[in-house]
Amino acid sequence: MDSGKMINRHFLFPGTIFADPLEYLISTVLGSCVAVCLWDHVLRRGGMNHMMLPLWNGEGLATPKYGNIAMEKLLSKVLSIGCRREHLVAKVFGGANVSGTGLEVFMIGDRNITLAMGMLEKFRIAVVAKDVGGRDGRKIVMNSESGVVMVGKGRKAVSGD
Amino acid sequence: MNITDEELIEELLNRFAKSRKAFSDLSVVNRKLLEMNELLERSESLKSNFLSNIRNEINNPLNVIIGLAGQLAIVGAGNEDISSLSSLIGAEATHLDFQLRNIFIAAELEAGEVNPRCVKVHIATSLRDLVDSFRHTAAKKNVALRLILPEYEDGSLAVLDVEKFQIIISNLLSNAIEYSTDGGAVEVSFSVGGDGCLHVFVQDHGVGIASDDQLRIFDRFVQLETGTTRSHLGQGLGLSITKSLVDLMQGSIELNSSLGEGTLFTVILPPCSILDDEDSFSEAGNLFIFDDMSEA
Repeated sequence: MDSGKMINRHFLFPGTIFADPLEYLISTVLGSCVAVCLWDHVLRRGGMNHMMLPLWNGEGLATPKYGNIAMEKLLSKVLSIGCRREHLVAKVFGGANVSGTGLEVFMIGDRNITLAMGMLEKFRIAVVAKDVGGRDGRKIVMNSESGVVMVGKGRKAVSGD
Repeated sequence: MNITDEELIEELLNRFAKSRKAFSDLSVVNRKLLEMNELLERSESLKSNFLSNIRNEINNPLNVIIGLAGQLAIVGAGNEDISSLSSLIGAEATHLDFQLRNIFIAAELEAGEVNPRCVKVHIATSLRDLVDSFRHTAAKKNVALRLILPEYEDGSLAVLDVEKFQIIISNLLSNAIEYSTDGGAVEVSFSVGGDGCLHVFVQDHGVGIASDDQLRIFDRFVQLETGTTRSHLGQGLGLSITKSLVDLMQGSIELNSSLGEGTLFTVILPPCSILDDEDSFSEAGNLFIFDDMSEA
């Protein structure tokens, strides 16, 4: 990655989406949130979302904070920069159970993972890599041109949810 | 009651047929619901894209009108009619600008394209500017607007996104003034906690919010009083935007209110710690190449 050339960088805040035709290093920090990277392996372009909760319940703004919105919007965003649906592959990260409780209602991480995987199945996009669950927060960095995603793990890393 | 085997079988067959019919009806309804849901998602997304696209088309002429109203006030100084007309144009255009800013930020939030840009902000100055921009609106409603600054923390700096901070506080101020009673007062104050979190308080002494309604007010397009008789302005977006922006900045918003006794909104914003710094992996973190797509 350290080839000496300057690559644009973008930090992805929770509840936002990023995809650009140019090469970018897209980074984000995940706890129970889930980030999905979509990448066109032919065009070599892609993007990422960062969902905090699984489903929008029709209240408040319909932002990509919610998984079902985030997945639809990421897909249309990567298609709008020229990616072809049939060339897309996905990588899924995050969904840690950071609160450490075993109660289902608090297991937002697991519910986010289930939602993301379900939506990808519905879109018929193959998941080629994933690093999900567990109790550690993650920081991920995606190179939008090579599709390489680097993952850093650690309990101190969680500043996003 | 005695029934024959044939009758029993017939009755059972009937019941099976009925449940099959009910099941198939339910499947049809379910499929229709799914289709409707997809249509809704699509129309939401069309609306959001449309709004982010037309932003500049509206913002540019509006800024020109606000600017020209200011120029007109200077040129026409001394002529009472011109000054009062220009200040009216300025005030109305500024109000329209505030409403449109809300609509556009809502569209940006829904498109997931809002990116906080954090800088150091002098909190007292920022709040003073915001309060000053609402003086005209408050005066029109005969509401006193007070900014209460802490004695020793006047020089406090916060690291946050100024534009988003302004939208959050403007919406709370606008609401506080709108729902104040004639001759009432709105107070704005702030403090910085030991953990570095900025607390901003916006207190009004107006109509208040019943406890049952307190969760609902953050929904889109909700105004507690509806219909043609409603007496308050606005499109019902302000608080849902405020909540989404506070979420984005990883803060929280609390309200303390009871009917008839006014409302206190408290916005808590942590210092913006997420900077675009590639090397800020956690100390405990291990960095490794997860996967190389070029080989996949």
